[in-house]
Amino acid sequence: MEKEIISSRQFTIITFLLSIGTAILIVPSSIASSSKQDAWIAASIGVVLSLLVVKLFLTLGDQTPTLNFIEANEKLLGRFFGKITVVGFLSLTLFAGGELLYFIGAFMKTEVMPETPTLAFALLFIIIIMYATYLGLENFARSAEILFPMFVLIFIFFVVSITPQIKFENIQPIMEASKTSILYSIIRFISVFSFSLVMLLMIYPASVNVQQSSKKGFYIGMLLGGFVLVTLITLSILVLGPANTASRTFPSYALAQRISIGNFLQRIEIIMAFMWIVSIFIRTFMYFYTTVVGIAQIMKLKDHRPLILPMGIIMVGLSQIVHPDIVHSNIYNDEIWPIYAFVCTILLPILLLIVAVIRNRKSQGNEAKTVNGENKQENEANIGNADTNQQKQADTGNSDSNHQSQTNTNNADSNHQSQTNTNNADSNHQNQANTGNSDSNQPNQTKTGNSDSNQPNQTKTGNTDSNQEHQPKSDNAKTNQENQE
Amino acid sequence: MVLAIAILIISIIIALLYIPKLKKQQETKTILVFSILLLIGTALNMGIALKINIPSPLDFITFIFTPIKDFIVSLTK
Amino acid sequence: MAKVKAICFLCILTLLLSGCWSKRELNELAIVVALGIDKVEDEFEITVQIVDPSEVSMRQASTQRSPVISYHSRGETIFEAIRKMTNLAARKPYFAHLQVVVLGEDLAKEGISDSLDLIVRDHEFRKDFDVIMSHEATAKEVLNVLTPIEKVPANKILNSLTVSEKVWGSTIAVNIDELVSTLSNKERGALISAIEVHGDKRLGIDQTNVQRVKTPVFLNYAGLAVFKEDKFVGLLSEGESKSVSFLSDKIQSTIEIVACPKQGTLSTEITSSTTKVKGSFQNGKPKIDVQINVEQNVGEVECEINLSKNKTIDYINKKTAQGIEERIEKTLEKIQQQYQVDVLGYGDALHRADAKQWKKIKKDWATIFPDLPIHVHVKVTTQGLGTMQNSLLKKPKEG
Repeated sequence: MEKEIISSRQFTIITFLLSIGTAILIVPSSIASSSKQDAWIAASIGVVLSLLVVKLFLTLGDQTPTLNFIEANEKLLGRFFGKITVVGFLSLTLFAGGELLYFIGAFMKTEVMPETPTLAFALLFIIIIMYATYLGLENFARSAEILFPMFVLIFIFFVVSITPQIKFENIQPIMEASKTSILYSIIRFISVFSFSLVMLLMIYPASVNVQQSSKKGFYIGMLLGGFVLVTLITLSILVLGPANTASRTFPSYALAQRISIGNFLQRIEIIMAFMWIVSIFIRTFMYFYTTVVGIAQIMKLKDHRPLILPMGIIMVGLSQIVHPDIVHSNIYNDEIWPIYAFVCTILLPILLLIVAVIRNRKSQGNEAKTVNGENKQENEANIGNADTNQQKQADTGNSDSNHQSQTNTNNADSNHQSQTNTNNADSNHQNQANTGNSDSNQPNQTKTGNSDSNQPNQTKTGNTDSNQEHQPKSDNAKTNQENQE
Repeated sequence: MVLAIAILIISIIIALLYIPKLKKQQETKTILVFSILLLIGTALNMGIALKINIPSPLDFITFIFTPIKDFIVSLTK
Repeated sequence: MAKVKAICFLCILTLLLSGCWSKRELNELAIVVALGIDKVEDEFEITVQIVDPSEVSMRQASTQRSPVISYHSRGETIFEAIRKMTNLAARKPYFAHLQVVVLGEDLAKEGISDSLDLIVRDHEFRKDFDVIMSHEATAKEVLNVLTPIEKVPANKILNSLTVSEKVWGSTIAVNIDELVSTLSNKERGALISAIEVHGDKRLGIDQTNVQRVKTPVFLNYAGLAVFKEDKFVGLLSEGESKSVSFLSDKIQSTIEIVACPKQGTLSTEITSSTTKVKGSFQNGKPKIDVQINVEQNVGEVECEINLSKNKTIDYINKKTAQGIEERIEKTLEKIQQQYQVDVLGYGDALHRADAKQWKKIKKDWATIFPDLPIHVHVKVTTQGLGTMQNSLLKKPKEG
């Protein structure tokens, strides 16, 4: 399977749309019911706290530059425990994907087409998602790029049209809500908004071609998404009032219903609904993609494509049984989801981070090894070992000198994995994504000609040389620095 | 009833389309995973079509996490 | 082969995209423009005013048929009554274009909250219509009157409401969302405009009503209805309704009549009025300060007065302010003493000012409100005199 690369701008856009996700529809109601008119304060604090969450993900991504999240699990925790945590994580994404399909059906059924069975919506949606997954991540990123300006334009139009109806009294008095209720609101907000950003770790280090700007992109995307949400919540309170916002199932839809410009431009809320559909699409795609790729990777399958169809069928089935009614869905989202998501998306990365740091320190201590000779042997032994290569690569990430010469080339398959960059005597290679070696990459790496895919970070050097793993060290020192942005 | 049979037929068609392709590529593991997933999906959807009352997996998750939730709530009271 | 596949795919796509699942064609819809709700013997009776599109269209010549049809049906709840109506009506009523909801007086006396839940919850009812009450008439009678100029009476009802709010001030157009928020606020009373039917009610239904120069039966807005805990308790007169509009900052333009120093009267046209309500707590006791700033022009002079002097303008300003203040104070007295319900949202003003103190007195608000000190200050400035300065018809005596 080809190694897929997306640019950092596409990555920012995906982050932006992913963080908005379903939050745009359900969050105003649930946080206004506990904090009333101070919901905007809770939302703003939530956005600021999400910066920490993003920092966590970025740091984890840096520790495993060439792997995506699923592989990193196995590499860092060992095969057995890694598999267990991955299964737990995949259960989260699977159920969340089913939930999202249920959600789009529920939304359409409540507000727009009440007589249509939710199965119809779920079916249509999953067909699109399956096709998108089949076409791959690059195509998806491009389609996100196309949808992005539409989203932004509609959002700006929405904000501008609803602003004349603001009544400032609705937001007073300020800071009336108790600290506990604001705390609950913040927890609910963060859980819907930023916990799902963990899925970006599937694409972050491995598939992004420019490391530094995609880091910035991660932050920027998240902040923009937070800005959109806070604006929406504030407008909701200002125009509809806190009581109305809390009691409606979909307050942002009610907000869109109020747009009436000159008594002429009215009843256009379904165009606003386009916004929600776009953000739900992005989020559902990420959940689905993560699940499919995750299963393919823990089973060490070569290609995840055949799994798409059965997975889609399972998700459609799930969407029908996952919530019997909307009350169940509201209770679940308010109470259980924050904890469940916290465990799988925050505790798990923290665990991985700790393990990675410990391993780093350990291998730095092992400098006694004769550099090349041993390494070569390590590397050669690895030929053909899809898994172990990864482990080796972990090491390379850490140490400095240990792997300088890596056999690369000849391995039609995995050996390229052993070509970790290493070269980095110093920088402990967080930037050495080099080859984004995951199993799937192997086929590509045989094509030495791929300068792009192999070295995300080495775009600068334009090293087709990048394929040359046998670069003499001196060169490496230089080039590597170039590569280390 | 009709819907359930239709689902069964569709799954069989999908299986027939895919398995020969995969057999050619000699990927037994893929075939295995594919079949298991397809089986689960078909069974699930047929259950839904036949209106069997399938409990939601989220209830299981809720069951696991409720003690933690109660604990957190009691902390902040 | 690929082309054939693509074409097949596109064909399937068009089938899916045309959204045929819950379609309702235009000729299956009965477009409801006005809904009337009455309570008759423990049952809800609803009246829907349905537009007959061919009568209202510009293109086709109008036949002798009436432009609107009204249907009635009864049921235990409003939802039931609406569905039952399909026994009568040729098509299922479609509520998305509803302009106005009329609540009958009998229903209002018993409480309006029950009847409003369907309207707010159902997705077909958009939230952009207004609510009024029928006074000394049932909603059925109100909706059965044909009106001149406006072919669809619901339009006339709505237009009259909004225009009168803008230029006279004795009505307030209350949107359903606003009404529901006010009703859900336990400390506040709601205000709805009330409409009356003048003339013989039985005759309004006939086409002949609009075939004469002077329509014998017509609809007229009578003032504001006061609701205590969602029950109708009384009607405010036109002057009192105007004062309430002043207090709620809803006046956009109206007229005031001032007595001249000698005999005669002078009318001024108010061009803008802003009201600021400030709640405050003094030693734990609440009080309200209302500041009203009015700008006006001289509109009509019916007395001998010299308008070119500053003194006169000051006099006019003072007198207008006095007039408005007196009327407002009388109205406030009536609201506080007679009705004893906070329709002006002063509880909310106090809540905004100091949330903690408000929480303490919230429970006793019903007993505190009648004695609440409300200070009203009106400041009037006259900007212009119209296109004339001194009246030609009434020349002021020199000196």
